[in-house]
Amino acid sequence: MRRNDISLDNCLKCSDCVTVCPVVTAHPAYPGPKHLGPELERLRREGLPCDTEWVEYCLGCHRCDLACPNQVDVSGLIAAAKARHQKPFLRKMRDFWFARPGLLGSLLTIAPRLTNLLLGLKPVRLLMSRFLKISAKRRFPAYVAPDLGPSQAAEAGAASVLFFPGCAIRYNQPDLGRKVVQLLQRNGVRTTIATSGCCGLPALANGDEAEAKLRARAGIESLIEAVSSGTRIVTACTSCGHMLKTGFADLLGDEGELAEKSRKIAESTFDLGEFLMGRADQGLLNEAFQPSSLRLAYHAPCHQTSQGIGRPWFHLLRRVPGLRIEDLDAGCCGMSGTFGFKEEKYPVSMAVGQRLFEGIRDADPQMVVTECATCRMQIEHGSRVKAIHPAELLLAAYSEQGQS
Amino acid sequence: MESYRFDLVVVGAGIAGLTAAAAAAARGLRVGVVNAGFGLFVFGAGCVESRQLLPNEAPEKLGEAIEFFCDLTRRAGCPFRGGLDERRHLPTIMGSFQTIALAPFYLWNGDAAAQVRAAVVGIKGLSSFDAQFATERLNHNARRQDLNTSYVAREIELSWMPGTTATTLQLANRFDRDADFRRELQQALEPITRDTDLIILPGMLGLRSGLNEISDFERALDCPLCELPTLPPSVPGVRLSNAIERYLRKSGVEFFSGFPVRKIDLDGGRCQAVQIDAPARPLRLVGDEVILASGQFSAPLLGAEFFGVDGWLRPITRSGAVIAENLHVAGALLRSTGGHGGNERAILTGYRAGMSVAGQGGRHAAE
Amino acid sequence: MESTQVIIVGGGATGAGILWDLSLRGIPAVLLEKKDLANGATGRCHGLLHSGGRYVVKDPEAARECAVESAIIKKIAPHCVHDTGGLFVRYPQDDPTFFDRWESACRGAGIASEEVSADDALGLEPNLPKNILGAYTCPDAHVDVFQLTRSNIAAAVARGAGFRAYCEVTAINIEDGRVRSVDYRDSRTGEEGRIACEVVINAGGGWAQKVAAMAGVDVPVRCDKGSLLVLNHNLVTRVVNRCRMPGDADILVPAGPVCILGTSSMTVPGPEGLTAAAEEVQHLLDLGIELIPTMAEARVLRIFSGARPLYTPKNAGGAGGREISRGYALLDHAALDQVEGFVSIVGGKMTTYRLMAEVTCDLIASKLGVDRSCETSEEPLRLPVDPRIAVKARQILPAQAAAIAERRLGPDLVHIVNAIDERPELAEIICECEQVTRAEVEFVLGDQASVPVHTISDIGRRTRLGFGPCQGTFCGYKAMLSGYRSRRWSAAQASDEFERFLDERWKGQSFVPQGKQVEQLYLSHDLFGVTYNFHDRKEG
Repeated sequence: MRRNDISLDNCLKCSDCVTVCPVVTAHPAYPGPKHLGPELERLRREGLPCDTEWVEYCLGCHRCDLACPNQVDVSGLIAAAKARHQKPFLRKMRDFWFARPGLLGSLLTIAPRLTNLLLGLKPVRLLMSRFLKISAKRRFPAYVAPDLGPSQAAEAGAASVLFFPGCAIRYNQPDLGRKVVQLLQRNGVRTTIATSGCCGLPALANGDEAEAKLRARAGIESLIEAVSSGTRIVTACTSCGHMLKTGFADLLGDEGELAEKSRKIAESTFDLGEFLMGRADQGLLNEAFQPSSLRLAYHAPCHQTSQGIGRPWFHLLRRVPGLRIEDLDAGCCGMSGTFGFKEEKYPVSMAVGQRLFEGIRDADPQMVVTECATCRMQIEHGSRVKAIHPAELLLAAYSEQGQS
Repeated sequence: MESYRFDLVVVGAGIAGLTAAAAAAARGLRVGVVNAGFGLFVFGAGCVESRQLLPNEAPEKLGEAIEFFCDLTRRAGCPFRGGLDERRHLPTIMGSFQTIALAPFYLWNGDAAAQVRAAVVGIKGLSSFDAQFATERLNHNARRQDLNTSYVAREIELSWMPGTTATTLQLANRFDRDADFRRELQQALEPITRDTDLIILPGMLGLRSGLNEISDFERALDCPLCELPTLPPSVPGVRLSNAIERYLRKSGVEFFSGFPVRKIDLDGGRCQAVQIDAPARPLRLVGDEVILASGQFSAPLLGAEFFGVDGWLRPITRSGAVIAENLHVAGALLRSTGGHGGNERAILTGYRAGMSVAGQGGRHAAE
Repeated sequence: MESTQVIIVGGGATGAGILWDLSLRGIPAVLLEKKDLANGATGRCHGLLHSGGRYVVKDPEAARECAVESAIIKKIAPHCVHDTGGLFVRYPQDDPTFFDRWESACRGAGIASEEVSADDALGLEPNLPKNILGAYTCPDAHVDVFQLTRSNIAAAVARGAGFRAYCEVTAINIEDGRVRSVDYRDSRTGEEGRIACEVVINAGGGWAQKVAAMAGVDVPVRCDKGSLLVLNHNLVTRVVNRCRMPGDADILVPAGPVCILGTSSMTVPGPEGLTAAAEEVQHLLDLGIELIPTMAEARVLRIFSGARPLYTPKNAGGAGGREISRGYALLDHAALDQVEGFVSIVGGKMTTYRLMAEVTCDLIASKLGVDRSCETSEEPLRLPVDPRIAVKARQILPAQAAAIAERRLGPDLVHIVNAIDERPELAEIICECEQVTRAEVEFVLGDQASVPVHTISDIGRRTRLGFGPCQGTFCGYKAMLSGYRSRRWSAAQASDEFERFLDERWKGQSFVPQGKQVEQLYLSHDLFGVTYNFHDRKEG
């Protein structure tokens, strides 16, 4: 039986998913995951018209899936409905670009300084708000010419991984990518940088299933060779990691050979933190950390939680002597990649984030640590506290001029 | 294969699992909890019925377990009231009464034996709850059972509504997020307090609230208050579950939420690991001790040999052989007839399992 | 004393069809039903509107009747029919010579059928087993039997006919060899009464023998139990038949959001108290898995059993359930038993209910000297929906709820739209699985409804409330409150109704195989048994 079918049959209508949905807490009229997912899908199979604008408001945070006592793929059913949803023209245009951060990134980084200048101008932002329905309240991340440094040649006896950087690191934060490579190097791991483009998750989130499939296919092609020879893929973006682990197989699960390849890729994909925790498990983690007096707050991104790997980064950072870190445990930040940029969804995005912002305010940390690039954007936007990828901190902890 | 090592891995986050995890964590053990969804106790907010245990079942540890559980809920900010000898008649949305020994504080005031006049408050537009219906049935059943409380139905109207109708979940979310909403609710209730001694509300006073928030609300109202658990999602129960989980997380318990246990690795008379059905590949949690408290439907995890438990709650075969010496069973799984195991049994067996594990000490506590 | 010309006993499809036929001929009639509409065999079948394919080899005459009648029903009651089409699938384990016989018999009986290759069949129905040899199409369809029965009654009531549910006939009074009146007892209130009449039509289905006995007449009816499984969602989008001699569990019908597998065949003493034992369920499932292998993982919502009333006159010999003709018999007891004014219509099947009504009413009309001929094959059962009302419904309700309400309510949609206009809170969806609004529940509970309801299960038969995965656990409570809020029931009555409703729903699930439905059942028990200390008589 198809996965969706099982998932459909498993729903007991208990509403646990509705209870944990962040959009339900923030947008009172939102019908919630149970209705938008399994309930409507069952009626859709009967041939009834079930299209609704509300599917666009799903953040794709997967909290419904995790809350379900019966493993209904609630968000998967909503994503399928989203892919069928008809959108007005302007939003369709906007979402076309939001679905393609790879294409957008490669265009915008041809002349990054001009891009950043333009994107920073108020009139430009107002125009984008008017004609592309992109909230003027948001600032675009700065675009940087892609430079992740050279791949390191494999070395006999040394562990090596394939680093899947993803669009945010490639086009906006290549310095973070270089730090990831250094961090791995400090742990005796040599890194090859994958040439893959976008993982396809933004396409899925924007209801563009065809594009997502295209990206998944391209991703599989670019990764399968390394994986087949036993190399592990490492991601430092939780959304890319989530996509590689679940999305490829979900999208191409019915396509024989590709399905098999996507399963292989999934099995070989590791979040960087997860990978390092694995090293720690084997006693291979370089623990030569300098003491630190930092007081940090940790936010677990939704796509980290949905990978079912515990909280590797939280525990890794706790190994740095003196460093104090508190888990905010405050749910979804509300950004959800491009969701928070959308004019009509900005208020919902901020309302979802309210609990996190309050948590940060109460914890009053020097910095917030989180793996996800768009979570960091939202945190800085909503709380004015600096947000940073944990790999940067861990790498800094090795240095003698550590931030202590 | 990646693994995470714990002194104790608990499967299930119902009353039994949470109590077991808390008992072990309180003794300094490093505990991991695996769960998918809320425990069934949320329906009734974890109330302990007075009639659950038969007298010959009453074991010596019961008082200690109850005391521990009450202490746990107090630390978690959702304290329980009552005791094993108490018998309170708490109302339900069917207009029936439950005979309750222990309940969260926000249900405890609802005792129907008290000679008071209680107002059952409905909210205009609230779905799945009708104060008039509940009142009629409560009065009828109170007379039938010789209980002294008399009930009157009242309806209030709130300016904030999510649509033409609302659910208790929507109101609870508002209660959590919006001080103006709490104030409006309080003002709407105030006139009712003038001629009644108790306010009974459908469960809606927040999913993340606790003693502080609800007591503040009650104080501002200057009238005792109690909630009724409603159709799922039942707010008072989710609140309790949230509170205990939040407290345990803060105490260092690691939660692995959202993925079922695929397999328990049994080898050489020991449980080697618990395999979680995580995406991409199973996550292996290695526990020196494992407590299985994930309800009646998880019996297949123990294999076809599973017959019952021994005195230490370890699963045994029909011939009495221990299936795994470091594995313990707690909660509804211990009940042969299936169905809800009863919260009293869950507290007792969860506590006993947790304590017997804690008695073994812990190797991973240092971290 | 109250009087009418014709009294019909039995509110199944046939009785309802007769009521409608008579009302079109201008003959005053009252239908008495001991429970609610479609309580017997009508409400306990697949809901398969037979194209005739199933009977074409064994009984070409019956097949031809089905072909004609199903086409008529598609025309007069499109709102009750989901014209899914059907497949007769050639399975490798079945007798290959039957395939050719089937094909040529279809041509003979005028049943439109085309051969499709195995690949094409799998394209149409991906859940079929990969090893099938091929399939034939046929014009099978699903018919909502509750809607069909209700529509017949509603149309008749609109023309002045009477319908009384929960009204059990206790005596048929005969004087001088003529039927004079009927005594009844309201099984809910205990109230008794008598209605004078000229003719009594026994459309009692499985109870026909019992009804006839009240007139001192023997109508031998054998009850053949068929059990069916309801699966949670559409595993197929068209009716799937096994191309072989009819046997157990060889039909799967997509019936609205669910699909129904059936049936078994087993002679039982009577139409009441039918249950399916665990072995029977397993037997059906095993065969169902041959039909559609994914059924092995699918969720069984509930199991129900119905009794096909088979007419077994003395000369029929000792044939078993499936061997006895599914044809109908019209018995004029004036000629047969010297009881003037008493007529029985027995046997037959749901697809031919209209034809059965027609021949019955032809006889009655000639008895009463009415010379209007039958119009039921032309007259639509329901008027079309005013397009403006349909548009308005789509504005005030979500798309799927509006579509469902329009299909179900037809011209009555206007009442829902107006009610929501006046009190927007009535737009609340009470039954989530089947998208039933509070407005609709209050409408069927109210006086405007031409086919009144008395219980929560009755609401289900009008609206499908409680028919979905939760089996009434959540919606039953809300429906009870609706009954209370609309002052239909006192609090005590409402509470009793809910308890009865839960009982019935729990009973239907008590033999479901291990799996999600058992968990659902425990959830219901936990909620209403343990948490609300309300209902604990039954254990799953």
